[in-house]
Amino acid sequence: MIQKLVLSVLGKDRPGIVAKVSASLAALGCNIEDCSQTILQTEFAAIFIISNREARSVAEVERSLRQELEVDGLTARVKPMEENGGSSVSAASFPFVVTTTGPDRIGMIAALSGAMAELSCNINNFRAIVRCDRKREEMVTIFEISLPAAVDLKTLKERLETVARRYDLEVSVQHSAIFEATNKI
Amino acid sequence: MFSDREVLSTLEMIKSENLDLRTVTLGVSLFDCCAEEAEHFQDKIFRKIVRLASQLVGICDEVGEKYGVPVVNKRIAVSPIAAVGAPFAAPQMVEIARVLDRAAKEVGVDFVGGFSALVEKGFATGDRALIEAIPEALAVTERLCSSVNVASTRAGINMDAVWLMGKTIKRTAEMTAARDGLGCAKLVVFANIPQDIPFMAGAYLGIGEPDSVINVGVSGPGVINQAILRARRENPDISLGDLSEIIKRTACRVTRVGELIGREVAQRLKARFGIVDLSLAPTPHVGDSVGEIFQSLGLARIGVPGSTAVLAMVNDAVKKGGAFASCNVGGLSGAFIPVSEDLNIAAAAADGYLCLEKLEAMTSVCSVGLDMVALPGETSAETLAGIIADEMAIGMINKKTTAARLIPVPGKKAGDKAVFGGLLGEAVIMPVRSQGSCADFIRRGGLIPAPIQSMTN
Repeated sequence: MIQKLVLSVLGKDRPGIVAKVSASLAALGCNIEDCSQTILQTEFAAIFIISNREARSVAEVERSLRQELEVDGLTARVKPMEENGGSSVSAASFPFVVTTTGPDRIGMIAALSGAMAELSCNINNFRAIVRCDRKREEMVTIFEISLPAAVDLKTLKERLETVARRYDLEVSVQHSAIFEATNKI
Repeated sequence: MFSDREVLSTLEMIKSENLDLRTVTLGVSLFDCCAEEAEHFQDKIFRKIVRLASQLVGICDEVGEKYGVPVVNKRIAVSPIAAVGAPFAAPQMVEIARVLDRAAKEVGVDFVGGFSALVEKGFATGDRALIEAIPEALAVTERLCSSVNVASTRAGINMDAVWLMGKTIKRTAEMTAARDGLGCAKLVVFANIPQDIPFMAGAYLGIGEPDSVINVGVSGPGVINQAILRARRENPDISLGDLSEIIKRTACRVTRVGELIGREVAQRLKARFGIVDLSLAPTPHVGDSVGEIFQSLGLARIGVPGSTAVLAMVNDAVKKGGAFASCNVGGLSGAFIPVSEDLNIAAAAADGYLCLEKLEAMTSVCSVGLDMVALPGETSAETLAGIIADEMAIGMINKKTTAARLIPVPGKKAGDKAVFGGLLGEAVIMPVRSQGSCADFIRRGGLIPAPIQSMTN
């Protein structure tokens, strides 16, 4: 069976990064099965799931990629993908969106995500945005989560509201269908 | 994955722009409750309403919590009592009214509509009994609403009914004089009444509707207004066509909210899902005004020249947006201009920008009619009938719904303030020109025949 590897790449964003990474992988005989990239402020980050068709060792693949990418100031890390690679999130869950608005404070995101983790909510997507279009600067956080079917929505809301009070935040928890309905045709 | 803009714009609509689900209305058919004995009929309708509606409020609140959109009002609409209660006389109709009111309180809804009669072509026995009972029924109940359809494009205008309703409105006002004629705020006279309106006071469940059905009323004048203001800030030279497009798209988004929540409530209640009524229905809260939309579109105040054109544009854009959002748009769907329920409209009337005649002109292009209009208490039944007849003619000829919810406030005159409270708001009493000059026309009675527009076969 062809081994799957996980490659993560970090570095300062500029044109050509994906081209360089994918060319390096092709030279190693690795096929890109899936990937996701994002740009946060000036930094580039990407994850690639690759199939190691020439059965090279993980160390060899990582060494070769680092040699290619270091010259451009990019860091790379390779590890084997776990065999039972399916998500550990239970299938019986519901998609919700948690948003908070308020001052940016150290520990706030840890407290919010901690409250969600205690209830086994998986965060599928998360970002934080600074809004300067208001009278005061505000941080908005958006968590797209899977709420396990066994967890009561009211319980999640109460836990998040406890955190919100501590950090002077407004918090909303809404099923993602409302965002689908108002934004997607 | 949603973009930042998608999440934030939806949140803004709900948190800052007063988007809510204005009403979820459960329609309950009472035809299977028909009985010869009044007490038996009352018992059957009470038990059926409670059986079907006992979970309505709780489920609406749960679904509202799930999506973060408040369901402000939960209501019930029943089959027209004049039809299902046809064997009964006026005093028994009053008792039926009390039973409906008691059922509404039992299940926790804020209004029950359907104390109604459809008399556009003539009166049946039950119709006369119900109309005779209306003043007392509205005086002795709190949550009951009543409507009478006196005209349609297919039938014409029943002028006997128009005059009778002029007299009924006067008596209703007198019987609730201590509260500025509040009973009249729960009574509407219609032309071409839709049978699936979720809003009060016109809601009833028409014949041909299912045994139980959920109809949803969405609103959102604040959302529309903010969308217009944002567009104008981004482009100060934006044209009316582009503004119309903005209104249409915003109306589409608002309607989708209503459909999402309405379908889930219907599914949980095991009722049919009926329609979404996308009507811009204002409340007396700040930022929830239809009148402000007129100013955002460039008029000094609602009522100045250009108001009818603005309303035509807004009403049409709202309908187009709603029609794209859902295949099940119904009810009134458009823009309301209720004088007392909208802070901005009430102020425009008080300051002399908006008069009764201009309101009447505007009803030719809005989705309802003369709504929550406070008039001098001395206004005669014939003059009230004349105002109603004008409104019915607009509806009949233009194949649209029009309505009149007129409140002659006992003991008060033009310029005085009438206070109805809550969502019904308060308003300055508007003058009526030429009181008494239509009595000879009104007293003739009969049927104004259906217009040639009705010959569509």
